[in-house]
Amino acid sequence: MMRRIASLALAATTLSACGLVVQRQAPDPAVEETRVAEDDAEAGVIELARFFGDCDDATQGVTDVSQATSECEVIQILTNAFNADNAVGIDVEQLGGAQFASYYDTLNATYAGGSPPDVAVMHASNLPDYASRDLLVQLDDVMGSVDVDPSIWTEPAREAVTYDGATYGVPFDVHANLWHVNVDLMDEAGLVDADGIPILPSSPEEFLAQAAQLEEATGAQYFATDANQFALDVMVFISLLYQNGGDIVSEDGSHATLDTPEAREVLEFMNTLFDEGIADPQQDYTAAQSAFLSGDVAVLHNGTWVVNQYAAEAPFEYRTMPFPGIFGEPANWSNSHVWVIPVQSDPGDYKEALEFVGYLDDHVADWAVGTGHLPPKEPVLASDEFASAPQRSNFASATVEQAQLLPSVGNWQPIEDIIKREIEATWLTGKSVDQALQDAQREIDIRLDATNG
Amino acid sequence: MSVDSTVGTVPRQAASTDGAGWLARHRKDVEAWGFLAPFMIVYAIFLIYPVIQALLMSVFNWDLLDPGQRTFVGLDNYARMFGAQGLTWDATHLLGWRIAGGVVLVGVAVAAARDLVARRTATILAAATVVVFGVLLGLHPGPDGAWSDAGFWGAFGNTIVFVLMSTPVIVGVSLLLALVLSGAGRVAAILRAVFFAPYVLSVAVLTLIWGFLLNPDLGLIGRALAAVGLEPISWLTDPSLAMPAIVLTTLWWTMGFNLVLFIAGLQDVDPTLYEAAALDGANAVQTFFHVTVPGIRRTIVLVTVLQVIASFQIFGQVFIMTRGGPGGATRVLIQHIYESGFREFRLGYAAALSVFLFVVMLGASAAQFRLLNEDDS
Repeated sequence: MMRRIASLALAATTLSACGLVVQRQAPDPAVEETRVAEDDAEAGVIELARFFGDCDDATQGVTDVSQATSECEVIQILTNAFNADNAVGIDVEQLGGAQFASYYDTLNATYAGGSPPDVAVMHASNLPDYASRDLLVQLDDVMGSVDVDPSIWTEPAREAVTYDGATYGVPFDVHANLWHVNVDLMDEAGLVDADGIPILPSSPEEFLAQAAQLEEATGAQYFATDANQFALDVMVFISLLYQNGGDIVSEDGSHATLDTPEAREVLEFMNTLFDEGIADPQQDYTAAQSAFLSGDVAVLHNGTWVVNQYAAEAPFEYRTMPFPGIFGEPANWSNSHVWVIPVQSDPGDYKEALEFVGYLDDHVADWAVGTGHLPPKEPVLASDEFASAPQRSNFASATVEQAQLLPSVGNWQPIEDIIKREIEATWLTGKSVDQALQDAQREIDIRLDATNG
Repeated sequence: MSVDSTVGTVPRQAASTDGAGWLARHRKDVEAWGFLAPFMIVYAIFLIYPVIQALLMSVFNWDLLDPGQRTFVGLDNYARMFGAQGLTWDATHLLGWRIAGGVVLVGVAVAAARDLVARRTATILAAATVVVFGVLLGLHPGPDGAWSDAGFWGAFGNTIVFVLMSTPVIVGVSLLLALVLSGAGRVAAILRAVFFAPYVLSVAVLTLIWGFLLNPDLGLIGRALAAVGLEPISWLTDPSLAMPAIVLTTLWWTMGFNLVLFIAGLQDVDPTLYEAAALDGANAVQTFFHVTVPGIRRTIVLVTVLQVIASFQIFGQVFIMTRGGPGGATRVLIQHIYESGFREFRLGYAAALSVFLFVVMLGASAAQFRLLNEDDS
């Protein structure tokens, strides 16, 4: 009996070992690029993987993008319009759900299963993980064929799709932190200038003084951010760290730079906000947002993606403002949504995918006007169409100038998870600032070591 | 000719007798394997094979995305999991846990003295307690040292806390409900269905319901507290309440299954024993401990073991409701495995972590079977 079990085990092991030896050869992105150029677009279905949520009910059959009221609706209507209008007969189908929280895990699973989508969206910060593994088609020589012109991209947009000197994606936007301000409350507290524009703090001391002044005059909460759910607190931390002359990782990407006086000062300041009741550590994304929209909060920190929504919904005088320079010159966490074409193990529908990406590139203005994101092209940023959209003139050009992309390193997702866990531990669990930064530094160094081999 | 025909027939007969004989002798085996085969094939493909594959992957540096990056690394993944720099030993480290260990030790000694457990089992248990609580819990990195994977130890600790918190609560409440609802009658039948109903929900629905219930501003619990003049509680963002909130959610979700097992067990207890106890003048408590508990002993063992195994595998509720927060306070081992595999692309390391969890669950289950089935052995 034992012998039989042993031989069974041996057989199973041999089978698995064979599986280990027979490995798929990853196609070479440069060769793939030539194939894109030679290929002719044909009618057929291509798969699109994206987040931005689901909104089928609101967008069924709609092809007029001016009707869109959210990120989801803009991208879904653009997809509908492409399917309806493209002369070739390409039909873009969405792959799986569009929830952000599980997006990258699902995308990774499709890669691991050997059948990645034909087109995918990703953040600039996540692109290095895929580009460094040769999993994305290099686009430098082929994007011209669908009229994508890199020479008009804004600087952060160009940086967003570049890895190791080559272009691996087409930028759809640049997005960053904003201060969403309740002008009525600021006015009541005397925190507006002669033109009625809110006065924002330019130093930590001013921040605390203005918060006290506002609370005394109005009883409202001065500042709110999601302090425990999504990584919005990380965005605040990183922006302030940039302003304070610090960074997340060293310039060569070899090690973290969080166990530093600059980071300590910023994290201590954030804890002061929570300790002194200027911000509420128990507020998550929804709670912070609803407190702001119901007029209980003067300043809500959130991103570019909610500008249209707040402009439409706020029952008070609302103003979008650039993230102020609190620790020095304004600098702002920013990221970018980019379209990429995954390398396929079978001859892929590259040309069809490129047609769709080209179409989306044509419509970055619709995306920017329909959402609040910053357009990735200079001419669109300077256009009247964009300037006439709600609030854009109040924040757009200043925000592009101060935008600073996340470091181009592998393993960004776990690194962000670590920063979030450690900084939140300081205001939610009472962990000391020093310990949190030391732990974050060590844990991130391990992740960076792993990607640097 | 007759000789020839005899010679010609004998081997044929012998052969057919042989075949029939083999079948006759092994009839039961053949039937049994015939019935088992459909299950065994599925079991081998979807359970045995993945376990072997996981064991193999755990000795590789196995990149999720890049097939080119798969190299044999021996036990490196395990070394990373358990490794540390500047490890020291300190008698006062994790003192609370070690006091608990001391209590267990005293309990074992008392049980052994009263012949509640066999001497051999008591010795093994005492030795294990001394090794784990006395020696292993004292190990920790010194002031300048660090675990190679601190996230692993944090997640493992949180998982143990969840197992210790959830198992007695879920088993206890299920048993209590089973006692109340095991009787005949329409109300009991309806309530049994009501308490079982949540078990059929998927984790997504469960977390949606409880995420909403526990929301301090919008949820029913917060509103109820506000109605009686109390401050709403931020269950999921308070580090000391997040885990109990997850236990509560899990209790509501899974106790229906245990309830059914307990009710089935209770129905198997010989009713004459209750009559005899009543005639002897036993009160409810005495009847419970001397008739009911011995009567459903096997069910208790089964439910407890299944619950411990289920609790070790806690993931969905935590991942959706808190994402392991606040500040890592509810981050559990399967989340660490999941993130190592899918967010850090280290499938080999994730496999090694799963093998560790497998061994821990196997050990915990074996210990419970041995301890709780003492009488039967």
